[in-house]
Parts: sequence; structure tokens; C-alpha cells
Amino acid sequence: MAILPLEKMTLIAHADSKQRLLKALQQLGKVEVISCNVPDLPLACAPESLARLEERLSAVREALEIIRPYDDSKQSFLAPKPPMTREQLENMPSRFAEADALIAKIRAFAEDMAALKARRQRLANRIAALTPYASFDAPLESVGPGRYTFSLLGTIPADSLEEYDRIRTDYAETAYFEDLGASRDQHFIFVVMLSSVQEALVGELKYIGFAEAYTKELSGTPANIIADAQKECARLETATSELEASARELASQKSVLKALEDYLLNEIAREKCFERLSETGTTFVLEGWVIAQDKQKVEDAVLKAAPEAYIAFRPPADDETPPTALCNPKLVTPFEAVTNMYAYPSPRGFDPNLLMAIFYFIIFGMMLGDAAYGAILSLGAFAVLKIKKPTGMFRMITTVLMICGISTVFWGLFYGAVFSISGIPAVINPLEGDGAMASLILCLAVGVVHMIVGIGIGMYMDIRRGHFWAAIFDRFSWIMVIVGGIMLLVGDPVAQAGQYIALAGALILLFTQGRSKKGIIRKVTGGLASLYGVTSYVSDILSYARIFGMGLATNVIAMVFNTIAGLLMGNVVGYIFGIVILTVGHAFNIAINALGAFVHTARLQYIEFFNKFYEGGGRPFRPLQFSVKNHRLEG
Amino acid sequence: MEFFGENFGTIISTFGAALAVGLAGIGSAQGISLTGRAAAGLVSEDPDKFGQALVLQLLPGTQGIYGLLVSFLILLNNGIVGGSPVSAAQGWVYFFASLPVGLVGLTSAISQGKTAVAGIALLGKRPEEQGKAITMAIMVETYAVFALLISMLIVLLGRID
Repeated sequence: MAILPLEKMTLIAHADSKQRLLKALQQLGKVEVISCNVPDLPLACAPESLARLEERLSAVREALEIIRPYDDSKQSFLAPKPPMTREQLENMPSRFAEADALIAKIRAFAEDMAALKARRQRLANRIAALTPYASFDAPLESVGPGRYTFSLLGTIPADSLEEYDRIRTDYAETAYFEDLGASRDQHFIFVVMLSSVQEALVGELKYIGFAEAYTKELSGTPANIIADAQKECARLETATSELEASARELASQKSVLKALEDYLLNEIAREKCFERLSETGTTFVLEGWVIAQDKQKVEDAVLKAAPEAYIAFRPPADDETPPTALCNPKLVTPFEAVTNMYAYPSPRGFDPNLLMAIFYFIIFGMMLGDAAYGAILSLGAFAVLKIKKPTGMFRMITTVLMICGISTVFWGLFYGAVFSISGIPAVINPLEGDGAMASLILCLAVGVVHMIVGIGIGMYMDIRRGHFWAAIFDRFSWIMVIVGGIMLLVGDPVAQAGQYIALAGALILLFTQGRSKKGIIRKVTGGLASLYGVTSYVSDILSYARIFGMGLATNVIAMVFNTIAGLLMGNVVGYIFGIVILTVGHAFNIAINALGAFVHTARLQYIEFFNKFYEGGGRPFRPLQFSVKNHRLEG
Repeated sequence: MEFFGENFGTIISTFGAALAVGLAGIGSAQGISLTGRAAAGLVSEDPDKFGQALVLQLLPGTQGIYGLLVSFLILLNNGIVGGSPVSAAQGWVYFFASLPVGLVGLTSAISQGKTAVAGIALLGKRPEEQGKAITMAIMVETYAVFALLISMLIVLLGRID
């Protein structure tokens, strides 16, 4: 339970060692490289290779995106990410050729696919355009100028029909008109005319909205052309599905691309560090944060990679804010996820995770409060951890649930709750008259201890910073008021003592809380106003009543399902339905109440516990290291 | 009162049970619906956020569960599911027990839904701040938990027969 002290490292080495040194640091994974701030020295530029790496990364991602729709390897939710060793990661350059070939194939596929699609689209357009003329039984090349005649194929708008009829009668002697069919707003017509009237007739037709059909470069009757196009379409469809099959084949080889993506991300992360260095012509300066206890390891690694290097460490200056590096026991580390959801601890604050984890464990168990549910939760979370081998946040939360399931088993037995079956002996049964009051008081008591620990941490921080009297006046006084106030409720003779303790605490507050104010009147009002803070402490304590509420909620909902199932279980069919109801019902109850317990316990930490002492606003220590997105790094 | 005769206690307490689950259920349904619509919008932009959005969508659902809980506790005591028929006075006590969880459940679930909608907007812009979005919505729930607590204490401890 500690925030590890960080030291600032300054490293000066020859420019030739740059690449080698950063690689060594990445392998070590213990230095966070920060932007150099050396007066009068320019920042270094990114190496040219960075642009090439980024280009390659976008090629890989583009290729993965193209084959994604054809990837049939359906990943179940529980399937773990494939493992990868550091050697495999570092040896990726040996697989560049394989990956590049695959990328080329995928790109070729995408081009072929696009070409096929364009051809199919063209054919579809042609079919759509000619279908209205399907009844025209002469070859299309015969349309147009002839020796003595001129012919036309096209459409006129439906609302010009009257004028069209007039034209038809006007030219009945010199032209032949044929109706080929009609759509909702267009009529499809064929007109043959003597060349002598061509100019006049075409002009009149155009005037009423005639539009010529596009038949150039087409030969044969429309019906034949359509049939050919349909045949061609079918052929292209087969070609498309063959091409898609080849894409599936390509998609099955995607693992090399996934590995390459991880490799490139690491290379890019390292090369990006170049821009944070300062340099002269022949040397460069690197600055970074290092956990104090890793100093020796870092120094060894640096000197091995660049024997000429100068390296120095110093504690952070007052105006520098280092990142926060946490160090907690293995059981506590997963609980950092809960704290981080609120805010990352400040590097100069207090790491609350150990104490927070203890209370989280206890309170979660009380809220879920059913032994069977706890066992199911623990075993389920354990199975997920073993099968899926998750990483990151998901792993942390699952582990928290697994650990808290154990506490749930304990509290379930304490409350006599196992699937809420009645008749199980309990230490306190919250569903019976006296038990309800007793368990409510127990919940509030846990809350009081929780809060006092929070105030205690605040005192510790004050004293560590040399504000001993602030710790007594601002914080310990409240502990006296709370403890004394509770003793008052217990009854004589404890109440007698409690009376004095509470009074003493209140007096300290009254006389000290105005101390930073100027003038006697302000000092007095400041002290009085601070006593009003008692309301916030009372409401904080009452807030812990939710533990009781959530605990009962689990039990009573389970009882609802038990009762419904019990009503049904009279005969065989009833038993089947009853078992279904019990299974689905209890599963629902675990899910909804585990979520409830998770968020409400977190809330008690954030609002009631953290507000007594917590200083957030830090940022996590992120050393330059190997990390992978698509794999699990082993070894 | 005479009209209902000796069953009056059971009848009025059953009315209470119906109110508890009914009012709180209406609130939760509305709250979940509000949040669900916002979540669907978010998921249309970024399907990967479904899980995160779902947690926020579920939050206004608890009031309905609290209502169910009190309702069931009443039915367990007034002779419908368990226990034996109760006097008129006891029936009134159970009836009043249903009011906190029913009324606060109805309003707080809707308010919590609105807060969760804002949380989903936050999730859209800064998915890493999900914890804060949840905490803000949980603040609303505090009052539903208090109402549940008082409702339950009345049912569990309010025996006047």
C-alpha cells in the first residue's frame, strides 16, 4: 500500500547509441520517457523510419478491415487472446515478407471485388434501362437514320399524351408510331418517319418532352441483350462468390497481420520517444521518470547499451509533478480498478487501495449477502479468469468479483441466507423483528468504522506534512464528536463518558475552526459554522443503511422466485417449470444484485470514504515497454 | 369499512402491495426507457460501447426491484402469500409502508434515468470516465434506498396486532 517514490533520470549519450539505447529501455520497461526541457537545445526530430512504420501500420489495419466481413472464425466471448512471447514479438521482421504478401493479396482482392461490383452495377443498369423496350423486336442497330427513313426509340412523359396523340394524327401519313408500353409517368414509343419530315417531327416530339433512349453501342434486340446481360450477371455472381471464398481463405491467415500490428505499435511507441529528446550535433539528452528502487537496473541496462553514457538521478523538484506508481499486494492490485474509476491517486497523496480493498471486501459481501450466490460468483469469476485469461481492466474487475464472492459466502452464512431457503440457522436473521434492527445497526457500525479510518488517514497525511495541530483540530475533533455521539445512544454509564467526549470534540471545533479567519467575530462565527458539519457526518453514516437495504433486496427477491416455484411444483410439469423459474430467477438475481453491490460499494468508497482524505488527479506511471493489443504477452 | 367487513385489513394492505410494485415499476420502466433510447443512439455510433452503456441503462431499474421487494414482504405478512389475515389497523400500517418506496421509486427512477442519459452522453465523449457517470447516477438512487429502508422497517417492525 504505497505510492512508490519516483526519481527523474537525465541521460546524455552519443547520437549513435540513440536507437540501441531506447530499444534497451523498452526491453527493460522501467522508464517513462518525458519531453526534454533543456534550455537552448532543440528537440530532436522523429526518425524517417517512423513515417514508414506508420504507413505500414495503416496498410495492416486497412487489410484487416477489408477481410473482417469474411472472417468466419467466430470468437466466443470466453475465447482467450492468442499467446505471444517476447521473442516472437521481436522476431516479427522475419515475417515481414509473409505479411506483405498477404497484404498484397488482400489489396488485389479488394480491387478485383470493386471491379466486379462495378461491372455488375453496369449490367444491372443496362437491364433496367432496356426492360421497358423488351417488346421491341427489331435489332437496336436498325434504329436511327436509314436510306429513306429515320427511326427513334424513347419516352414521352405521361402528361403530354394529348399532344402526342395530336402529333400522331398530324403525321399519320408520313410516320408510323408504335406504343411499346408504359410506366406510371412515362410512355415508351417507337417512331419511324420519312426522312423528309425528320426535322419537323423530331422537333415537335422534343417540344412535348420526348427523350431518346440510349441505344448506342448496343446490337441485337432488347430482349436478347437483356438475356445476355442476365447470363453475364449470373457468371459474375459466381465469380464474386469464388472471390469471397478466397477472401475467407485470406482471413484465416490474419494472425500474422494481428501480430504485425502489435509489433508496429511497439516500434512506433519507441520511435515516438525520439521527438521528446533534446539533441546537439553529436549527443542527445533523454529525461524520464524511474521508480527509485529500479535505479540500479536502469543504470546497468543503459551502460550496457551505451557505455559512454552519462546518467544521473534526482528526486522530483517541488514544481514538477511526477506520475503515480502504485505498489500493492497481489490481492489488493485488482481493487485499484475501483479507485481508478474515481480518480488516479496524486503522487503526493496517499494510496488508499489496501484499506479501501478491505472495506470493499466486507461491504460487498454484506450487500450481496447470500452464501450460494457468493460461491457461484467466485466460481464463475474463477472460470472466466482461467478460460478467457483476460487482461487489463476486465481482469481486474473479474478478480475483484472472485475475491468478494468469498466475503459474500461468509456474510450469507452469517445472515442464514443460502438461496434464501427458509429455516437455515443464522447469527442474525434480518427478516425477523429484532434481527432487522440488529443488522441495520451492524451496517451503520461498519460505516462508522469506515469513516473513522478515512478521517484517520486524513490525520496521518496532515501529520506527515507537519500539520500536527491541524490533524487534531480539524479531524480528531470529529472522531471525538462521532464516537461520543454514538456512546450517548448506548445508555448509562457509557453515555456519561460519551457526553464529555462529544462535548470536548465540539469545543475544540468551536475554538479552532475559525483560526484562519481574521477578527474575533469571524473566528467565533467560523467555529460555530463548522459545527453545522455534523449534519454531513450524520447523513454519511445513514448512507451506510443502503448496505442493509441491498442485502435484504437480494434475499427477498430470491424468496419471490422460491415462492413462485414452490407454488408450481405440484406435479411433473410443475417441477419442470419450477426448476426453470428457479434457475433463470436466481441467475437474474445474482446478476442484478452483484451489479448493485459493485456500484453501491464503490459509491460508499467514493463519497463517504474518499471525501475524508483522498487526493486524486495523478496520472499513472507508463514506462516505455512492450505491450500488446491482440495477444497475451508471455514470458 | 363495514362493507369490507373483517377482510378489510388484508384488502387495504394488498392495495398497498400493488401500489408499491406498480408505482416503482412505472418509474423504473420510464427511467430504463429514457436511458435505453440514449444508449441505442450511442451504440449506433460505436457498437463497442454496448456493455458500458448497458450498466448505465440498468441503474434506474433498481427502484422497480425495491417496489417488488416491499410488495412481496407485505404479501408475505398479510395472508395472501404467507402469514394470516390482518386487522384493519395492521392493514393500514402495511398500506403506509408501501408509500415511500412507491412514490419515491416512481419519481427517483425517472430522475435517475435522466442523469444516466447525461452519463451516456459523457460515455460517448470520454468512455474512460464511466465510473464517474455511474457515480452521478447512483447519487440519485440514495433516496430510493432510504425510502426502501423505511418501507421495509415499517413492514418488518410495524406489528401492532
